[in-house]
Amino acid sequence: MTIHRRSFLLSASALPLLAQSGRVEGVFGTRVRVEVFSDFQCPGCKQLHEGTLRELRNEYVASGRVQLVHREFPLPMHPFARQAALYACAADKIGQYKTVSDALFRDQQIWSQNGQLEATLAKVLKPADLAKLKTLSQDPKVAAEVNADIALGMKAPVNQTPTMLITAKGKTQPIAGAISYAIFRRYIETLLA
Amino acid sequence: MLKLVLRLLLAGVFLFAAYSKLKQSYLVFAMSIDSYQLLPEWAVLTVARTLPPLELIIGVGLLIGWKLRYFAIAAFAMLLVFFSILLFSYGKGMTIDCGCFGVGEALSPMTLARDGTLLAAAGLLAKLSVSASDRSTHSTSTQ
Repeated sequence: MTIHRRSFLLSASALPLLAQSGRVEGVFGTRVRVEVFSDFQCPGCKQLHEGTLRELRNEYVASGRVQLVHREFPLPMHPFARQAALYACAADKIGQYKTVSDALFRDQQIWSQNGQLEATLAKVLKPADLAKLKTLSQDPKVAAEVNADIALGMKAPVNQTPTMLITAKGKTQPIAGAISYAIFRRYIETLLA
Repeated sequence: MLKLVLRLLLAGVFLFAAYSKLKQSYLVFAMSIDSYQLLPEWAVLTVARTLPPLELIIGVGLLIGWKLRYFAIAAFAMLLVFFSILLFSYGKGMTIDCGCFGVGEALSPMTLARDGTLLAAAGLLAKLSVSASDRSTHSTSTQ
């Protein structure tokens, strides 16, 4: 219980930093907020991103009932995950977070094998944007953003990816794993009721 | 003495497992079950609703010690199912929440070691309880 309360305070205090970010979807002040800690190289995160979160976005985020926040939590066991997180955060600076994160998850099986992240990015970005992205990904401020998300996750505590911290009615509930939308939707409905 | 220790240990584990699940919405436990990706939606919801009360009943049964052999066998059977699922999921390389005592414990070798130990304890308790029961029946019939 203490852990839940602490994670709520941490996430709430860190949230304003993301106010203008593409990493926050939906309006502020919703009754339910879902913070997703994911690793671009984790298969479960890909499954959650491309399934449950897509449906959540369409049904609840678009209608302003749920806010969705993306947090980077690259695991040390995945050699290209941190670089992918740096690219995603850098993409946010040029307004391309969603495009880049969708592409990274879509091509996960390819770049996880060969480490060629830039080949994936080149498919969805103009050459000028890709050049900007490469420069920005080396910016210490971008690295600091990734580190801040990791630190936030460690304190929550996030033990695995994907983990969602669902905040509603003043309480934060961690939910781990690639859960199906049908079950997740039932839970969201109880929080909105 | 050993039987008493095993009985109280397992009773504590089952009661704590039941408490940690019953104190929150059954849907939170349903999401833990769902993350294993083994059951359809209706089965996930059924298990999420019935398993915690079942753990509570077994925990109370073990604590009281009444009809011990039945409760010990039930505890062993339940732990055997849990352990098999955990082993299977870990073998598949799934990075999921164990769901054993609520949310927040990643499936790891530590989880397997703990559940394996509990399974062995329940197996031993079941064996001791059945043997004691057989001895009691035998002595009654020979009198």
